[in-house]
Amino acid sequence: MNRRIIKGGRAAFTLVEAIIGAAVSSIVLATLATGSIALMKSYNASEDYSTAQADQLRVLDYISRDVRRALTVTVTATPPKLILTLPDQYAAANPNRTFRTPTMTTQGTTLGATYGTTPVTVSYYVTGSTFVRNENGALTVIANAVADFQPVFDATDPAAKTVNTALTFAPIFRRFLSSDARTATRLTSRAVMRNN
Amino acid sequence: MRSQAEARHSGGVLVVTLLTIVVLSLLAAHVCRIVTARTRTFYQAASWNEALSAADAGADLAMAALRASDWTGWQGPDANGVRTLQTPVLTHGGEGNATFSALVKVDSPSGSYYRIRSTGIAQLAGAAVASYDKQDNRLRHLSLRSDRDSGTKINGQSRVARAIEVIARGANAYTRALLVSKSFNANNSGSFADSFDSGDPAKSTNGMYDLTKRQSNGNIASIDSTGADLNGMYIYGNLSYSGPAIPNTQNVQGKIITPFVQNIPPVPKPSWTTVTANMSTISTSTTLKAGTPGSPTRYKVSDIKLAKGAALTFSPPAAGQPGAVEVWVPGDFTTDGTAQVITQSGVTVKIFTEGQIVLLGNAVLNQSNVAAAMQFFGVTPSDGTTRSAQVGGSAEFIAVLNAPAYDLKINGGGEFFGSFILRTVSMVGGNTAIHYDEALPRSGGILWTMASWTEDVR
Repeated sequence: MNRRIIKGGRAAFTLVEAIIGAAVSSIVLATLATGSIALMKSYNASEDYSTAQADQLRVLDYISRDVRRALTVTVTATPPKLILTLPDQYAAANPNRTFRTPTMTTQGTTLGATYGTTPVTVSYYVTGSTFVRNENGALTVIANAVADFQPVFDATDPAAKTVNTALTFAPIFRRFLSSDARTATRLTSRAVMRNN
Repeated sequence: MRSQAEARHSGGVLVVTLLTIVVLSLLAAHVCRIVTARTRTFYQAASWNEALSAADAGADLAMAALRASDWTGWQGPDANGVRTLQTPVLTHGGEGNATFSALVKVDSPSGSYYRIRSTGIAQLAGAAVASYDKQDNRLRHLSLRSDRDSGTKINGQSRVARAIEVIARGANAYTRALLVSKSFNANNSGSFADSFDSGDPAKSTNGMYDLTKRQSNGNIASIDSTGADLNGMYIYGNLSYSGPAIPNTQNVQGKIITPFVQNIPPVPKPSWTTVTANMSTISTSTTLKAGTPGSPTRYKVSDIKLAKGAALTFSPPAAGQPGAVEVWVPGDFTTDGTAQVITQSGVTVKIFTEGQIVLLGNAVLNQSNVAAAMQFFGVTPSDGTTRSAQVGGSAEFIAVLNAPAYDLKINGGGEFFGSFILRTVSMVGGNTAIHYDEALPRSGGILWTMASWTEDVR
């Protein structure tokens, strides 16, 4: 580019040059800003997805752990809630709980082992933005910020031996509001009630 | 030569470039930190689940040992009656952790069941760092730098342990010399119960009972002791019962355990759709040929009423070959005088009788000399009624008698080798010896099953 030298003055860009330069810079900056924002959104969405998956896994592990040792299971549809009764296997409250020695009693036509006298009631459900485990009224938050979690509990196994749990969430980086986006996040677990 | 202004511009570019690199590096480091933490969380979850598989495997080993009554490789029992097994550390490929094992302890707190406590231990992959999520840590109880149970340092061997407790009950009761659902009445102190092991030369001679190798597992048990009386009978083992105190137990050499709870499964009527032969009453000498152990011959015989001198013989499929035969008798099974039921060597016989059972004198000749080879079953009537059985006459009876709906009368004493499950037993006249064969559980005569399963989630 040729710069015209004005007598007694200093070299400078013409107005046109300055305008073109500003326009090009604006475009570059806008592109960078848009890219950065998209990158941040994608990063946040990925982290949210990853966190939700970890939450899903933990919630299902909690549920499976209790279903395996459950004596009975009940499901309510609205709100979705899984209610279990567990063996009364600890002799004292936290933190120094000791394991009881079971007694053998006739249960129907077979002989079963019974721990304690009062089975423990445990339920799982979403309340507000948390997923909780409720043990005889004592709440334990097992996942935070999961208001979008939708559990489906299924204890309709004719043999009354298995409990299926499906858990979905709403990913935030979906392009369109589609049920497919939630469906794709479905994680399921089937646990066998070993005392049935 | 560059002007000062140009030099300043070059320096500015360098600073901007460096700043950009730093910012990008920080971003990359942050992403790596997040990804690493998440990966670690998922690996820890995988190890946590694998620990449960290891614990279940340990419990399965204990159930297998119970069913086979074979504790080879186990330590103990110790002073508290606890047997212990530390499984080898197994390795596997793939991502995440690579090793797992189980520590299994078995005891019997009440004598009526076995308690299996199995702790599965799985190695944790990666650094000994807690999970990104507090809730994960609360659930999984990882041992990162010291063992959560013992508190001992674990020197870089971070791991996760899960403990389960399985209660095992005997679905079949061939674990005792005698099990009755109601009363047991012995007649005098000349009668006794003890044990031997036909499969252990240290506890038998040529597979036969040997008084000098007597064992003290001749256990007797009653679910309802109403009307029972031991009358000074010697029991070289334990006496277990529920109900009123049994009188005259002064000669029980083992423990007296009460209460006692045991489930006695009924003996179902055979539901065979095909048989080798349908036969009418057998009263004269007859030979029934056995099939192979995997494909036994099956005979349905309306009654077996062996006359004096007659013999019902069960022969092998070919000379010297093992065999198996099953007989279903909808009517009675009786022998008269010198009549005999002969099981030739190598043949295993199961006889299911729906009517009364009378086996007098030396009515049973079991040439295999092991009780598992001659099994009498008294079918449990579907209407809840009871049946009668009688053995005795100085008999020598090597067999199993599983008839939980039958009232057995042992008349005139005799010597019995095997195991007996009945509704009631009464001894009349003479002295009776019951030698429980400890090899019976190993022969498949007993099936230990799970009465409960739970996990220790402390």
